[in-house]
Amino acid sequence: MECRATEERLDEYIASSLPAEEMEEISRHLGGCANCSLLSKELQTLQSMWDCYPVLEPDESLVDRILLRTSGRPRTRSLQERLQSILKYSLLNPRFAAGAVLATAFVLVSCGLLLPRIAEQYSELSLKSVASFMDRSVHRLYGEALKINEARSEWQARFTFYKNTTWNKLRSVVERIEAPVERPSELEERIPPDNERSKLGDDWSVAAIRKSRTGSNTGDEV
Amino acid sequence: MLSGDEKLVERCLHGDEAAWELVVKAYGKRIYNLSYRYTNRTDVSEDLTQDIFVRIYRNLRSYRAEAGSFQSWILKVARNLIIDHYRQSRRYPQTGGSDLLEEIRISDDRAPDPQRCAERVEASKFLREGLGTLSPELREALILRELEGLSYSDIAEICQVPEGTVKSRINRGRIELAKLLMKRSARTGMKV
Repeated sequence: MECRATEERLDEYIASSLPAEEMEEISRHLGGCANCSLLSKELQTLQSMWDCYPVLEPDESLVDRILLRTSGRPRTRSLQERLQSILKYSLLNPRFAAGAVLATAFVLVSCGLLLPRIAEQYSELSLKSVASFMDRSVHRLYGEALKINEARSEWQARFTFYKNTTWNKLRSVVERIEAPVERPSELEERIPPDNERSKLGDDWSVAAIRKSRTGSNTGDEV
Repeated sequence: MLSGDEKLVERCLHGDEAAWELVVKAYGKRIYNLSYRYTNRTDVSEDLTQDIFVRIYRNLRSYRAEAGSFQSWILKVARNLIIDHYRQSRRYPQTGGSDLLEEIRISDDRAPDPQRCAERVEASKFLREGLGTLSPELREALILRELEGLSYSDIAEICQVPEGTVKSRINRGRIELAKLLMKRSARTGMKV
C-alpha cells in the first residue's frame, strides 16, 4: 500500500471506521513506514489539541449593542445581575474607590472629634436634667401632633368643599343633558310652509312667522 | 407541532422582544467565537457578530423549519457574512492582538496548573497559526467540525457542498495540520 493511499484513509483508521481488511492493511503499512507511523501519531495528538483552542467570552456589552441595533431595546437584567454589575463597576471604578476611602476617613475623623464632646456631655448628666429633657420632649411632641391634627382638619374641610362643588356642577350638567329635547314635529310647526317662506325671505324668526300668519305687525310679540 | 426554536422564531416574528433577546443570548457567544475562529481578531469578531445578528433579525422571515434546524440556519447566515467579509478584506492575519490578552479571557478553568496552562496556550497558538496556513475550504471544514462540533450533514448544508466533499476536506485538513505538527516537532524537538 502506498503512503498516499494510507494518508487518505488514516483519519478513518484512527476512528476505527474502516472495514477489518483495510484496517489490517493500513496497520501493516504503518508497521513498515516510519513516516506514516509518525503522521498517525501526530494526527492523534492533534485530536487532543482541539480542546485547547480558546473559547472566548465576548464583552458583556456586546449583547446590548446587538439588541440596540436590532430590536432597539436594551437587555433585561435580573436584580442579581444589576447588583453584580453595580458592585463590579463600583469596586473597579477608581473614583468610587477614592470616594469610599475619603468617606471612611471623614467618618473616622468626625468620630474622633465628636467622641470627647459626647463623653463630656454625658458626664454632666443628672436625673433631674434627664427628667426635664424628657418633659420638654413630650411637650414638643404634643405640640407637633396638634399642628398635624389641625392641618389634617383643614385639608379635610377643603377636600369636602371641592368634592361638593364638583358634585353639584356635575349634577347640573347631567340635568341639562337629561332635559326633554324638542321633538321634530314641534320644529316642523315652527318652519313656515313654502308659500310663506317666499314672503319672509331670510327672516325666519318666530315673530316674523307669527306676523306673516296673523297679518299684523304690532311689534308686541317681538 | 412547532419545535422550541420554531416557537422562538414565531415569537420573534410577532415582535416579542424578549424572545429575540433569548436568541441573541443563546447564540451570541457561539457566533462571536465562530467569527474569531475565522478572523483571529477579537475586534473584527465583535463587529462581525453584530452585523450577523442584524442580518439574522432582518431575514428571520426567510427561515424555513422544514429546510433544517434554526442553529444550522443561523450558522449558514453567519458563515456567508464572514465569507463576504473575507472577500472584502481579502486577508486575515494569522494571529491578532496579544496572545496573552486573549488567553486571559479564555473561559476555561480546567487548567489551573501553570505548566498545563502554558501547554494549552502553546497548542492554541499552533492551531491558530496552522489553520491560517490552510486553504479557506479546508480551514472552514475543520473549524465547523472540530471547533463547532457540527455533523458532516450540517457542514454540508452550511457550505452547500456534498457530504463526501466535507469528509474529504476534513481529512485533508487534519493531515496537513498533522504534517505541520511533524515539521514543528522535528524543528524544535519538542511536542505540544
